[in-house]
Amino acid sequence: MASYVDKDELVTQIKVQAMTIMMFTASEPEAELPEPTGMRDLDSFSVVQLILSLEEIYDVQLLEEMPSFTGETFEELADMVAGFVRAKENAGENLAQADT
Amino acid sequence: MPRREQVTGNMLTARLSSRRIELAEVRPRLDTAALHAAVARLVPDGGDDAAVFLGTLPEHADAVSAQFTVRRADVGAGIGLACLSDCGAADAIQANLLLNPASAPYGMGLEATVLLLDHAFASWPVRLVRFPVPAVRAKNFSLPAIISENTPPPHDRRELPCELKVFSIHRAPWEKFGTQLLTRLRRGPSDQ
Repeated sequence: MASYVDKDELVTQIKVQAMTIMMFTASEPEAELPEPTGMRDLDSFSVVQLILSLEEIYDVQLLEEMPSFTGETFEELADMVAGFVRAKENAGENLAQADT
Repeated sequence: MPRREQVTGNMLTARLSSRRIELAEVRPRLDTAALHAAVARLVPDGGDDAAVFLGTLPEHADAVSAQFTVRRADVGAGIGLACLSDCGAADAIQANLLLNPASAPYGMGLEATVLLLDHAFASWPVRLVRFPVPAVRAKNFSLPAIISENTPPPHDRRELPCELKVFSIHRAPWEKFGTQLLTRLRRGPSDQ
């Protein structure tokens, strides 16, 4: 049975990862960091790190898909990631059914 | 500055591609006029990026050690130019990168920079690589171990229309952190 990733959980994960990356790359670590609210709040390095982190967590290939991503919010990014997770899980299920 | 033998193994390589970006060395190298023409084709409106790219290169074309075109692997289109050049210090090399920003979304500029830095360390026995960028682009280089320099590069003798920021990264932190990032940019999650 499919265990599609929960979107709210995905959005939370994206925010946590984004905040963590910003903490590690802050030029003034002691300053209070604003919480990132969308893709526009992230610089190039942070975007790449965020995508690589999500790839590791959800075991899906995302970096190559980013040029077709037109959204700006973390919710839209979560939708994209969820789509790839769902497709991967479906492919795994189909493979398992073919084996039985 | 002569290139050294290519370093292979698990740290530095001279492979010029990642999952999204490919660098192709231009041989023979473009002369100054041809390079200016290529920049004009890439960014017809000019702007600060083009001014810093051209304005911080060595004035003599012979001091440019290698030139590259930057391509997107997915569409096969050229999106930029890059140069590695002598910067007047025996233990350093300068990296210049110019991209058409509209064609390089979501960190592709950073990815091209990482490839260029790796190639510089792999091909020349330098202690550090420095790279000038317009100050407005500075926030895109918040990588750990990248240092913001106070001293402008020796080639910074032409008047620039914008504020300049010069970053550098040393070999040791590159080998420790930069190569790890590059490995992830080259291998997908299923290849890790």
